[in-house]
Amino acid sequence: MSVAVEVQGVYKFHGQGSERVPILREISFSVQSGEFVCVMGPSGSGKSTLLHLLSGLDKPSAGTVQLAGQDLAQLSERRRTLQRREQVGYVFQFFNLMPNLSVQENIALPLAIAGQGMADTGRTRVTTLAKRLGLAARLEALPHQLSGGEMQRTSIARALMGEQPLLLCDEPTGNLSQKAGAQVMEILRSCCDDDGRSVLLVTHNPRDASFADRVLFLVDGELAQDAELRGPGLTVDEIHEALKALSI
Amino acid sequence: MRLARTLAWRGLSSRPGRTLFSTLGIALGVATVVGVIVLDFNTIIGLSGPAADRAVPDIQLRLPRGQTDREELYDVEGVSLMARYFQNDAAVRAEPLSSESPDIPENREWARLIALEAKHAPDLGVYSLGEGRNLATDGSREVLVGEGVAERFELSLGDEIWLARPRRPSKFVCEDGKLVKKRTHADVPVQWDYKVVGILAREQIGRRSGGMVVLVDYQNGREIYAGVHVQPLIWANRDQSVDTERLKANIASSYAFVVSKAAILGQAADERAFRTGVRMAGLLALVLGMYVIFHTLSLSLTERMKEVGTLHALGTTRGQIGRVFLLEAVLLAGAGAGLGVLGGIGLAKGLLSLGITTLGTGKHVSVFLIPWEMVLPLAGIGVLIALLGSIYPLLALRGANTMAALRGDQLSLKNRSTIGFHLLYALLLALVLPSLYFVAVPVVGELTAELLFTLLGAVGTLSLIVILSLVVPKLLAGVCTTITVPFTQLWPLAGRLTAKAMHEAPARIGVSVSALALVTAGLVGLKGMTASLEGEVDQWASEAVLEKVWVSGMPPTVFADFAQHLHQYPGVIGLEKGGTGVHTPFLVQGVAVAELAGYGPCSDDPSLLKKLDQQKGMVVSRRLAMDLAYELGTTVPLERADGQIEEFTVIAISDAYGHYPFPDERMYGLIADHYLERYYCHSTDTVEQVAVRLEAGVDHGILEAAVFDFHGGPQDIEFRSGKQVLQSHREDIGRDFVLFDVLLALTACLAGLGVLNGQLLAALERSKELGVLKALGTSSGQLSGMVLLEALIVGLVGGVLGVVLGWGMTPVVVESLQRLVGLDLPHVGPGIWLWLGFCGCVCVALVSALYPVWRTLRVDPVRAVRTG
Repeated sequence: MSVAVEVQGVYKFHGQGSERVPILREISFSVQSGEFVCVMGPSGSGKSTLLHLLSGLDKPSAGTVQLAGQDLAQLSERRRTLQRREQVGYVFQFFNLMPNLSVQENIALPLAIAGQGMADTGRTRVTTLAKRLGLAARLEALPHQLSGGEMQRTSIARALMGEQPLLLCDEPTGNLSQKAGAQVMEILRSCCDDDGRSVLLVTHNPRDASFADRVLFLVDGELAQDAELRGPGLTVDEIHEALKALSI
Repeated sequence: MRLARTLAWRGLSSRPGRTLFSTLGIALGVATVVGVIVLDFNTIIGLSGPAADRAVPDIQLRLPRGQTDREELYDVEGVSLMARYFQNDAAVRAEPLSSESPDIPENREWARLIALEAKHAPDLGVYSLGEGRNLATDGSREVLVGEGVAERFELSLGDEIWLARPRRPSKFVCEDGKLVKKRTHADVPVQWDYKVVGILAREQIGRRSGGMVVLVDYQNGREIYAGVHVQPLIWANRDQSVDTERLKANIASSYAFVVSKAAILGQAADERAFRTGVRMAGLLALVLGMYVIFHTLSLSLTERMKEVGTLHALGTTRGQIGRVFLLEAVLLAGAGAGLGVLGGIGLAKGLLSLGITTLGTGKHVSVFLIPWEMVLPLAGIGVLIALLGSIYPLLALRGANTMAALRGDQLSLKNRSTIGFHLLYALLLALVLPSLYFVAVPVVGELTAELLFTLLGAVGTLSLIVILSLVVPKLLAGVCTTITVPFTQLWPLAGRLTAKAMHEAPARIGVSVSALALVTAGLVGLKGMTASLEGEVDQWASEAVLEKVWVSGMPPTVFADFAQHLHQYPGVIGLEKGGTGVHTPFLVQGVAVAELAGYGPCSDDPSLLKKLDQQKGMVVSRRLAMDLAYELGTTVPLERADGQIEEFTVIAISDAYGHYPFPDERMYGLIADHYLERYYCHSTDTVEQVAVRLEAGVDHGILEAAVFDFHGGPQDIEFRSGKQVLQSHREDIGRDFVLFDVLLALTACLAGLGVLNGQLLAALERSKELGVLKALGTSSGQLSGMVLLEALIVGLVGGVLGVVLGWGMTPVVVESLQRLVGLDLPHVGPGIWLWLGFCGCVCVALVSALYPVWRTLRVDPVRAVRTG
């Protein structure tokens, strides 16, 4: 099993001098191919910052982030962007769909970004993904015409469209109903099981975390090493217990 | 590119309001400037006739007595391409005359002979060749024939024809006031054979004579007319870098001359100033249009930062994102420029159909041509500057923080970078754009120090406003925010939200305020200038027309008897003869000298009467003196009817005598009527119209009674008082400046678009905030009040700034016009227009806010609170 992303001794500070505030401290972990990893932590614990570092949107103040074997800090911004394009599919809490593009076009956006048109293969794949995510009837709709669940499923379809090996998901169910959230989580799980992708999920929700193979806890910018939970078959109660133990 | 195409197109099509108004901003700017240029082009072409019809050069000069060649003319500034010339009749034959029967008429046609120095002939631009080549310059006997001659003799290139002068019949000439029958050379003329080397095109020389024209080298022409007196003339073109007044002033005291109407149309000082003013208004519109698009593009980026962050997070490079914005700018600029060109052409056509030209109103122009060589560069400049305006969004993308953008934070650039961009914009708008503009649309006439001073002053004012709003926007936004405070007492929520919105968007507020201020200043300055022009007319009228009454439509009346009759009535001081003028090249009128004794300069200095009557004195009007640089004592050479030169001396410069409403001419000279009779055989004994000078306060009814008494009834006699003449002059000024009103209205629309675009983008940017406010129960009235209050404040500040600036600019504008045109303009000030300009500014701002109000009220609170 190969490593999708590896984080070694990462620190991240905001501000400078006396106003320097640590956001992340001594973070080290890795995500294997096909593994579903969940990161939990209270608000302000640095979860989103961690995702920014993993995707190469931001650079660590110290330490390394290796994405598909490439140290992101050593790459130019353009190379980092291209690495992200090839290796990372992003799912946002607030969906971040292009408001002017239809569902179909939003799903196909990675192809356009990669400079590929909607050739037959692309169109077939969009249709397949739409069917898989229950969006087949909504392909021509614009984002504001969708429900929250539909928007997030579109966002996931977009992330899957690029066939990148790593999916980064920033609280993807945070704005969804319980039912819609469960649907999304099942889809993400199937990405690991059926497609062999790695998923790194950031969430507050123990129910979502129960879908993961492994749960990491981030407290005040540090990973609570001894609290890590490993699956499969993690239960919501187990996760609640762990959170309680960490006073989260 | 596919990504850029898709996103750019969707970005534009999903925000139809922003796209429409941004395109309109560019289109209006380009349309105004294109309209101005097309209008000016057609005004000049239409009123002077197209160049293709020009059969005379710019200037025709008659050499003074004793001067046989044009050597001295080489030293005269403003004259170029001098060629000796004369024209006369010629007998054209296709074969030589038989010596036995020299005058067989069947083989002969009469044609107009043009003898013109072959060396310069082609460059004078008075003819064009249909086929063949120009005349050789080595004196070879070659001829260019008109189409009529070519057809009559079935000539083709290389054929020979024979030319001879005609036997000259006796003719009548004016000698000492009498038409005298003069005998001329009657010998059988010599014939010369000529080779046809070219056939003249139908236009220009020979057009009027149906192509019955032959053109030969000057020396060859003299050969044909050997032994016969020929009056040599000089044909010359004007050096375009020298203004017509300077040219005329340079030649007026030494040569009798005629300047072709086509060469000077639109080139008089006042016409140049008017046309330059129109061009400046075009520039103002272009700058405002670009100003609008710059900020639309910048604000558009701010509004879409979240999209930008998402795209970047999904692996889109900054280059790819930049291409999206660049393509949007290209599409907006291209569509705007295209629409602008069409709109400008339509605007010019519409104005021309209404009789509005760049030389005043009420002129009929029948042609309509599009000077693409000027229109396309202008459209190109519009596109180029708009694209340069997209530099800010493109560069701003480099410094954009993707994480912040993903969170939906505002685009925040480092302060230093922002100032740098704004400086760049200020430079583009205040320096690069005017410079490119004046390269594409050169100034009318000579770039004198005065004109340069004026243009720099105008561009400087533009720069001041642009730089003020771009470099220190917080100053204007701060003023606006402070003014909002009292309104907060009245409308707490709207007031607070407005103050906050203005405080947070200083650039948007700065641009809106300064755009409105620019237009208001333009309006106030323009109205101040027209008030001064009206003041100048008032001054002129007080001397030239106010105490006069013009009597026209009389049957032919013996002037002496009529004058004697009117002098019996109280209050009649003097009479001036109407319709007794000749053009040589300015209007010269004959006066009954004794009639001038009671008023004007002759009343102050009676010796002038003798000079006028016996010593070839001339009274010239003030404007003629200014135009031709005549001073007291200047010698004025006038070409007599027989072609000789007669010299007069300027003895007074005054408008007290000689003005006639028809033709309404302010440039004229007055000589004693007996000189007019002697040199022009122009009878001045009887008149059909007169101007009667009355004492101040005399009832015009007395004059009417006197005239009716003389003629035995009203008949068709018309009376026109000085006050009526003055009124029509004042109305003319108003009509002439209608074009400026149209241009100002267009720029006001542009300023309104600036306000509208700013507020619209603010509404889009703040749609979530507005939606949340609606969700929290904020009423439509409160939301509308917020947008309208901002517009009101922007209008108030823009209005005050514009009025102050316009009020300060007015003396500078008047002074500049005075320097450019030479008119003695009083400083009257804009008067009521200070208030009207201010109120108009506020109204434009409020009207512009209506669409943003509607857009704000359409914000969906559900969507706003549901999505991030």
